[in-house]
Amino acid sequence: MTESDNKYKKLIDVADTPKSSSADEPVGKLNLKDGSKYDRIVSSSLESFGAEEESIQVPPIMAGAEEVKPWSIRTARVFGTSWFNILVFFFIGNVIYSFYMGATAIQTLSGVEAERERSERLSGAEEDLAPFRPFLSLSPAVSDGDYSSFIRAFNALNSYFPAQGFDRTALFVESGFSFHPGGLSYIDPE
Amino acid sequence: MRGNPFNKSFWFARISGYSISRFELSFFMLLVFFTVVIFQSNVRQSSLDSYNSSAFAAYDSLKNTLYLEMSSPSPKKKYLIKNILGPISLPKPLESTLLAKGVRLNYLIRINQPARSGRGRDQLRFEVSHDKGSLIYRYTEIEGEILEQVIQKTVIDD
Repeated sequence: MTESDNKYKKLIDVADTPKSSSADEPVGKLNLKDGSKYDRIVSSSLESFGAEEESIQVPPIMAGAEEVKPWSIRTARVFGTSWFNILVFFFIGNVIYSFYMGATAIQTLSGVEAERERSERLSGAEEDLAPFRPFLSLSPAVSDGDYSSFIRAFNALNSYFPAQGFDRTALFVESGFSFHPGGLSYIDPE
Repeated sequence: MRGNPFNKSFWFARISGYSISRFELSFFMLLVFFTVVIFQSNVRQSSLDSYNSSAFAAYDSLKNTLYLEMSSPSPKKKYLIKNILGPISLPKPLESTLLAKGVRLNYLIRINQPARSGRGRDQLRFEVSHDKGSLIYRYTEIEGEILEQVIQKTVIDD
């Protein structure tokens, strides 16, 4: 080995020798320039917390389509918080609106209660309706040619009023009726 | 935010170093469930209110038209109308009342008949509803006594 070879060997030994030994550094202090040490600390930390390196499952349909990048915590937080706030406001708004509608709802009666109230408050309400019941119970088909049922109801109506002592002005005349789809109307032609 | 929301990878992406707990997932799902339920209920109620409002508008219009007609110099003494479905305007002299689409005049009975002996007949009654609404508006007037009722429908047509 020549003198120049020895010189180069010395230079290589100096370059391979660590500049500072671990004994010189305080324990727990992280030298960020030392990449291998950083990796070692992170790995041991992950192991102590039982975490595993997560592998991202790429659905077969997406294979090769685009690289899947996991969201950062910050991205997820912004996304989640925004939509969660929208959802919560939407929920509260709907609850308030339903209370408002409940508070402003008008009082209604069932069919039975309405009949009872009418017969209690208006004497003769049911009796006065009786002659018109055949008309009210006519089927919608009366306007499609079921003329016989119409005539029966018409005759029943006209036989009721004379029997009650009314004169001819109480009678319904056939020319006053007109038919509509599903219904009919009578306007007194006099 | 990175990625394209229209690409599946956007939604399949995992949050690095974080997993959603069962409590968070349950709470979120419950919130979504109740929000959807209340929202659907409100939408349904709002549409029912809209149908009921159009029925009430027809009811009110018909009542005013009848009052006007009854106070005219030569009022009609007899009306008998059954099952008129809108959109249509009522026959003369009630033509100013327009039934909107789906509004139904179930019946209209008007009799003003004095009797030569015994009790006369003076009654006005009518009922208006909307086919898709939940309420029936009923007017009954017997011998000058008025009763107005709002009745809950038992069956609502689709």
